[in-house]
Amino acid sequence: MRLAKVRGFFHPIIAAFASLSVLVIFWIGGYFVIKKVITIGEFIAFNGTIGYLLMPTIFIGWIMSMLQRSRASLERIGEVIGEANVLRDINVDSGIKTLSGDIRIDNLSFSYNKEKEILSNFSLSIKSGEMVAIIGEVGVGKSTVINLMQRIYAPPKNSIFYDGNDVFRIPLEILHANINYVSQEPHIFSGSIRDNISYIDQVDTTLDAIIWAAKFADIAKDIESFPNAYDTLIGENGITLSGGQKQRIALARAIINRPKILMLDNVFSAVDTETEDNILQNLLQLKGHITTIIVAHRVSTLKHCDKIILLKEGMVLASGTHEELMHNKDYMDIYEKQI
Amino acid sequence: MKNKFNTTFIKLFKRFFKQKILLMILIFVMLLVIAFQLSPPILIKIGIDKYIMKGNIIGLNFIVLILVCIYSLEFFLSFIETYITQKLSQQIMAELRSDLFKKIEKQNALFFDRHKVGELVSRLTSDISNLEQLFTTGFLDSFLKTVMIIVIVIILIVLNFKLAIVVIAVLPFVLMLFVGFSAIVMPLYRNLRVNTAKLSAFMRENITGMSVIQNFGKENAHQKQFNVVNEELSFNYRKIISYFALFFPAIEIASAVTVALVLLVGGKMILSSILTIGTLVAFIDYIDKLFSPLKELSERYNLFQSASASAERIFDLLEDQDNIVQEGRELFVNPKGHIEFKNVTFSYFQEPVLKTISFSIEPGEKVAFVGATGSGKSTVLKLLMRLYDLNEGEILIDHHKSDEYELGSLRRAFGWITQDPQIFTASVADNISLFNDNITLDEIKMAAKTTKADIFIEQFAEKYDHLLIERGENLSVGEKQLIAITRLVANRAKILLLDEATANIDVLTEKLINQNLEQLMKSMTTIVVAHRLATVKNVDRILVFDKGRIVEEGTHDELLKQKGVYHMLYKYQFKK
Repeated sequence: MRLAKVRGFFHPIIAAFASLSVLVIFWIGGYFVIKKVITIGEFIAFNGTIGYLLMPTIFIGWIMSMLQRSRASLERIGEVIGEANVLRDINVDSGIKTLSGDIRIDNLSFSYNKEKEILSNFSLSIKSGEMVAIIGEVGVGKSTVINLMQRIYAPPKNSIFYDGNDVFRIPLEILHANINYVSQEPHIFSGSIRDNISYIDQVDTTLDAIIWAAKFADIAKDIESFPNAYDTLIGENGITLSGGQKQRIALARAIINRPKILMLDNVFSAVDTETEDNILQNLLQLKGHITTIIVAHRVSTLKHCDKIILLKEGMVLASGTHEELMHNKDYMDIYEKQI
Repeated sequence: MKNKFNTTFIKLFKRFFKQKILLMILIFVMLLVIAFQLSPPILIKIGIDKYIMKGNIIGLNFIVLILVCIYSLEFFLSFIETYITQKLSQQIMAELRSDLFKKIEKQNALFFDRHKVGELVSRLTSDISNLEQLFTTGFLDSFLKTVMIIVIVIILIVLNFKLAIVVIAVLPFVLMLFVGFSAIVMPLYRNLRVNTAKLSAFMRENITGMSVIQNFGKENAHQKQFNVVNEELSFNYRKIISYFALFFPAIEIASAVTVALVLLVGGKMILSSILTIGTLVAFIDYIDKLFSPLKELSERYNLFQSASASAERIFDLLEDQDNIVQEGRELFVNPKGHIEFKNVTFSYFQEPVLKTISFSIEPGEKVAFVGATGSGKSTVLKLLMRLYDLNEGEILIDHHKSDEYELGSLRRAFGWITQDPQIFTASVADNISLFNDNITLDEIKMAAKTTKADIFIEQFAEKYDHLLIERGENLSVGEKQLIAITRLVANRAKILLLDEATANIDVLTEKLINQNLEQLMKSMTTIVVAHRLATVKNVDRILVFDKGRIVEEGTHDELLKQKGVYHMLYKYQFKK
């Protein structure tokens, strides 16, 4: 309501100034005509010209208030444009054309804000083609590791190495071309299922490849039950997928070009154990070809991993194969609780 | 399209006309303002003819005095006019917003699957403010301008019929210009709207999917797509502006030509003494007042276009009955906790998720639902809570059809514990009572004591007045869960629905929560949806779901002996 008062006031004020000038011209001009200082023609000319003088003055006031408002917008736009490009290459080794999948993390410590360290002295080495699981409770830093490895957040220098090269030496384009990542709540673009699964290369991917990926992610049956199978539209103009279906389509999208490194961040959270197991079996088939890092809450299905890392409060509590960890009390606690 | 456009405006008008008295006052004030705005040229004419030309200074002063009065009154009245306009429009918009929100609250879950949060928020904010503009500058101001044009023409005819003919003769050309311009610009504005919608949809989708775009290194591809959408929008803008750049000078020229014609004809008339100088001056003043509203009206298309789209969206939502859950009038009081499904069939889209399901649960019984993802277990909970309407069959709660109960009272009887409990931006106490004024602070404290949530609540400086923020970002998942459990204790829920409640919780809190839940289960009917079989051993009965049907039923031991689906699932999870 206060706004209404202000607006109600502003407009008439401008009008009042206009009226005032007409009044003054009429009065003084009329007086001059009577006193024979000016002719009636000059009076009329003045009367007609006053509008041209008046409008710009009114507009100046209007422009000033607009400038004020625009300045706020300009500042906000400037903030976004002025934002530092975090994702950029500085001083990279352009000789690196591909990654083999060999990963080493050395004493990685990291915090989002200075207050609390998410990871402290985290070390891990993964050989090309290995399958590694990172488990632990919510908030222990599992996803942070994955994000840092992709340089979505900047890790400290000399803490993450691919084939012995610091992650900052690797061109981002190469890094992202070799790592495919699936998050817990993956984004699926509106469009057809075919376009989503073949996202990496929508032009040259064959339907066979798409079907292979869909079978791999155990989503092929679901897709075939949709009205237009692979051409079914998803999103605003199409069908709605369940959380588990989204996760599996995202997995198909990530596996289709058989990347060197695959990172799965808790992607089985909305999938039942049977489906999860099917997918893990498929992943096992690729062991030796694809380095796979799986972040998980559940442990029951991770037995076949080459290495299981148990995280607690940013530190590695235990690591080893399932058999090795059977003697570890913390691991068994989680294991037994989940059976 | 055209028809829909009209009905939308009619609906909008109906809302405006509800405020009859204020609207009548407003129109009266507006007419007065027009009268005051149009009288100075006549007064000036009288001043010139009667006093200036005759050298009468006193008369001139007198006219000036009247002009001062008229200007002051006009100033005062237009203040009132703007004030009433704003008051009226704010009232109508507030009412519309409230109606919309009420409507959204009544929608079922299917609705929220379809509509994104951002979309609904913009319905309540930017669409409404579009309508407000339509009301103030659109309807009222256009009305004012149109009346003004008509009155000016009448005044001109009364002042001098012959000279008025000159002006009126020009008007059809100007009108043709105006109509032609509209015909070109209207569809362009329609395109512009489509382009803008496309651009914002594109932005929305790409910003939410940014991590995917970056991860797959598709920035350039998306930048290209963006450039196409962006260029379309910009091209359309430029096109519209170029038409305006033609139209405005054309109106100026028409205005200048009219003035020239009036001077020519009027000048001759003055020479032959059938016209006074004052009248000629008044004519020139009025011509200016006649043409400038035309320019302003031409700028309204954009407003009408976008506002009519907004209005359409708002009314579509207001009249959307599809997703509203049927509701009875009967209050659900003193729940016992008896549940019965009779031949219930349900589908979200075409494929049925539940196929003629029947079962019943006695008060106080503990039942677990087991089955693969998509087998329909969670859907049963949603139907119990009446988040959706059934396709076939019926659900009886305490031997009474559940759609005959008033929704609020029915839902209060349920305690639904999910993985990610909802926390509202409000005090701890309000989060526990869920804004139910019938629950006293003592009752809230009692509830917190039984769930041991009081231990962490008491640690807040303001205790139960401590403000929680949306999504409970200042709480751990376990603490959120404890609040959710305390909530259902305080609200005296009778039926407990557990949907993977302890999936994301640290061991310590999980123990506390489990103790609480076990305590609660003693006095409540309980349904546990289990993804892991370890959690279901202690229930009275297990229902096994498979592809929308209940295929097995019994205790854990009975089902194992049957060697059916449950046995398979069990072996499957435990072989590891």
